Amino acid sequence: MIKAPAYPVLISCLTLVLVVLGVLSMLVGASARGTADLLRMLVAGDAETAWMIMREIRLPRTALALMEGATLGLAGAALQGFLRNPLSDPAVIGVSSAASLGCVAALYSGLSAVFPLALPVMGIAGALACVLVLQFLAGGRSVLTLILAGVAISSLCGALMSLALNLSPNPYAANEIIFWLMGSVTDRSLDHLALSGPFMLVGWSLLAFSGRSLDALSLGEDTAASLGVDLRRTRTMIVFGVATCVGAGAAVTGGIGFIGLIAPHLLRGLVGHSPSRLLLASALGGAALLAAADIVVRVLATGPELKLGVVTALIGAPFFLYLILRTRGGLDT
Amino acid sequence: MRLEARGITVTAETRRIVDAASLGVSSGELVGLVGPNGAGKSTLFKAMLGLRRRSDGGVRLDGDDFDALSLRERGRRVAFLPQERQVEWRLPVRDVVMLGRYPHQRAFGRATQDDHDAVARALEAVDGEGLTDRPIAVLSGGERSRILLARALAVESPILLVDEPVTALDPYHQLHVMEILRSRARGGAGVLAIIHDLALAARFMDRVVLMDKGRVVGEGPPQEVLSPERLERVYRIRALDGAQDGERWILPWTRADEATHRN
Repeated sequence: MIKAPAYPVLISCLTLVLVVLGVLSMLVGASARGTADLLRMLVAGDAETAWMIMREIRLPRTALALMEGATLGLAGAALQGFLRNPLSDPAVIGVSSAASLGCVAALYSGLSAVFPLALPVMGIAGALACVLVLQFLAGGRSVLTLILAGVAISSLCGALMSLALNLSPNPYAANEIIFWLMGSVTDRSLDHLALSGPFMLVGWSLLAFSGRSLDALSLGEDTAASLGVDLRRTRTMIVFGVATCVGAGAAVTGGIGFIGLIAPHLLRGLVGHSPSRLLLASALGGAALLAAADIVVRVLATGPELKLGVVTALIGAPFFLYLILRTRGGLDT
Repeated sequence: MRLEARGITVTAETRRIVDAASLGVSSGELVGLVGPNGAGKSTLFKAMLGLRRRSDGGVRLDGDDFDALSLRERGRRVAFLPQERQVEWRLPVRDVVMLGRYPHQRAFGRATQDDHDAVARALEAVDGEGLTDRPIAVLSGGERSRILLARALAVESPILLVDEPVTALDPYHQLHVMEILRSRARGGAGVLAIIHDLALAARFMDRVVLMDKGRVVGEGPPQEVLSPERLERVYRIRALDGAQDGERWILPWTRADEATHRN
């Protein structure tokens, strides 16, 4: 048995990885020459331009990748602790598509053009509606019911988004929605950051404060309640926390999934399986994963750049299948 | 300290699962709650603790309304070991037992020396020191049961409610757990235990409360409550009994209705 490293050591290592990835992400451009040019500009005089590129283009992109990754990692870990099953993830249980649907509605109706805050607000509303429906349908009890409900919600949201595309007045509007759906942090500005950042912070704090309750919940609801856990309050914090940060994140990055499934899975053993310690570790891990993926799509770019959401789905969906295989048999409990 | 439940009633649809049941436990005594399957024992426990909605009745702790105390305060004063024994995740034994300290800790509170000491004492009480670093998922049923008991003991609450603490244990560990509960009571705690094993109940309990069909139908010293007539009426059994070293034992022997057929 591999002994889990001390928690502070693990957190320091993850933070270090994040810093390295952050710096890399600021430097690496869409081609190797881009990076070299940037470094030359920095060293040989034209630092002004180099800083401008970094501040206006790379900084928002890097920050958004890190923040969205942290959101997904944290939300995944919190949902898994709360629902007590390792297959929960904002995408798997439909929260991500519901948030996307909210955003598509804002884009399609033109609301977001008039009133920029409409995008995150509608994203959060979609995510919130989904979590409430899940609570009602699955009650947090049976894993199978939960996942089936998630599939149903995802399909419904998918259908409604297709409807929006189908009815869209012109190809440009349709294009905008399609590109947004594929999920990316390219060409985002500091405005996007300002739009979603505060909501993400609110969601993160709600989730962070539920950590110890999640630990107690691993002994079942009755024991947790007998220890002094307020089950209603915990549920409210998780539901609103997940909906707020996932909804706000989806509003500016589009449909990026599966980070919330992969990050907790990779790190759970390293934090001694404790749901509360997994929260921070998984947030840092998720940020690292998404930042790394975003660097990879830039480096790989030959023709049109691969969309980040496409890449995470290509890696995440098979990973989900693998997790189902591993937990098979435990599903219907 | 005394935990006192009065007239607890729990209704499911139209059926009364618990019907105006009253019972109490005071510091220093080990009280057994006995009765056939479906008598409402576990439901009564949960209703007392506020984990199940009561349609009537109230609970007082030293005269204070138990429901009016904060959740944390309740958690510190009354520990509960439910019948369900599953633990999610592969938590190591130490972390599971440490969860018993939850009501003593703040939201982000780190474990204090007091917490570590309480965990060590609880593990020692159940002979679980050797298991500290093992994931609970790999333990045998008996070991897991003892570790979960240690989790409840780690609360170090004045009142302890345990639901079927010896079920699924081998005789050695059944006796061990009964001794642990008795020593807790002798140490000043009030212990209330649901128990199916009448031999252990008769021998170890200071007092037993007998439930049948949601009602409390008897209360007092084991030899009075577990009389042949009551055993036949409530449990539909006949039992052998005797005494050893001044302690009474009961051994369920035949089903009463079957014996009637034979005669």
